Amino acid sequence: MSSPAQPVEPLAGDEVHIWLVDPDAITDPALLARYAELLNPEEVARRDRYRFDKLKHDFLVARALVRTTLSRYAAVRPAAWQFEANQYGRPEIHSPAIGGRLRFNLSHTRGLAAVAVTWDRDLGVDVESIDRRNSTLQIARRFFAPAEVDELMSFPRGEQGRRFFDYWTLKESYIKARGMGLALPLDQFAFCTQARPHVTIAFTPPLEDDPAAWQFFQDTPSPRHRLALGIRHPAHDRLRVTTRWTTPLVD
Amino acid sequence: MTTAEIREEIIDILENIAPDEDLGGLKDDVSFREQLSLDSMDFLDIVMELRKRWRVQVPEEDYQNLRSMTSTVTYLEPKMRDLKRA
Repeated sequence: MSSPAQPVEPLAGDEVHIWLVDPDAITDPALLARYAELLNPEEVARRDRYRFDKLKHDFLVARALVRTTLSRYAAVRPAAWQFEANQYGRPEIHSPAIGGRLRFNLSHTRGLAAVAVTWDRDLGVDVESIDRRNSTLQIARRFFAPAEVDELMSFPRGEQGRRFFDYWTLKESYIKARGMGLALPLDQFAFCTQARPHVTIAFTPPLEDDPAAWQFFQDTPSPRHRLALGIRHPAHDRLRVTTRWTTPLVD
Repeated sequence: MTTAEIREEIIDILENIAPDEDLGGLKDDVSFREQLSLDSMDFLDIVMELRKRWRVQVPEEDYQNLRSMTSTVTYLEPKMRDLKRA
């Protein structure tokens, strides 16, 4: 049985809403069964390709988060959303038509999934768990822009591992907002996280983009997670970003 | 290195990146991203490990070749066939 459409939540033109879920906190089999009913056949196939139950679980909760979140903003049942991917695989809403272009972006990592929504703007969100085991500082030295490496290495040594994730999530948010994945070289755009009042971005040729066309936001949703949001908004007014936790289909 | 040895090297690199995951039943023709949930940071780690271990360079435009085990081994074979494992 599909869920009824929820009441429509207001989302003003200058707002971005970010909804967060901790997949590890969702264990009720009845609720998970309701999430499974929201998936379309393609999502079911994708879930089943994961080799481990943990990954299947995280995927299911993330898809339920996307579908129930979109249904907060339009009178559409969560199961009714259809998506299409761009040439780099980034999903967008295909149907139904809702009288406006609702845009969204999903990110997930261990212990956290986040979906950001806004009207008619390119946006990218990235969440990372800062306890993951990758060779973070080596990745920074090898792939980041020189100015970023300098800024990162200027922090006390004990902080650098954690600070890496500030840059990484910002870089991912920009890449995701552009919808291009790693086709965009990481050293051709540089974040200054120490700029005031807001984080700034600079571009190096051949990458051509306008720094003034973008706004970036950072958050710490939990002590072990970092979040960054990048959004194309070529105007002086600062967008209003609201972040909330949810349990899909419950609250 | 033979293709089987290149595959073992990739498994070894993946085990370091995703230590919680049992790679025994990995399907070679299904993407790493879809089976193991590897993300961009993991792919950069693979690229860096190949460079560190074997001095094999994978330029950005070739990253798409690291999609699955089959495509990775096919891509690396000409670059690694003359290398000898220690």
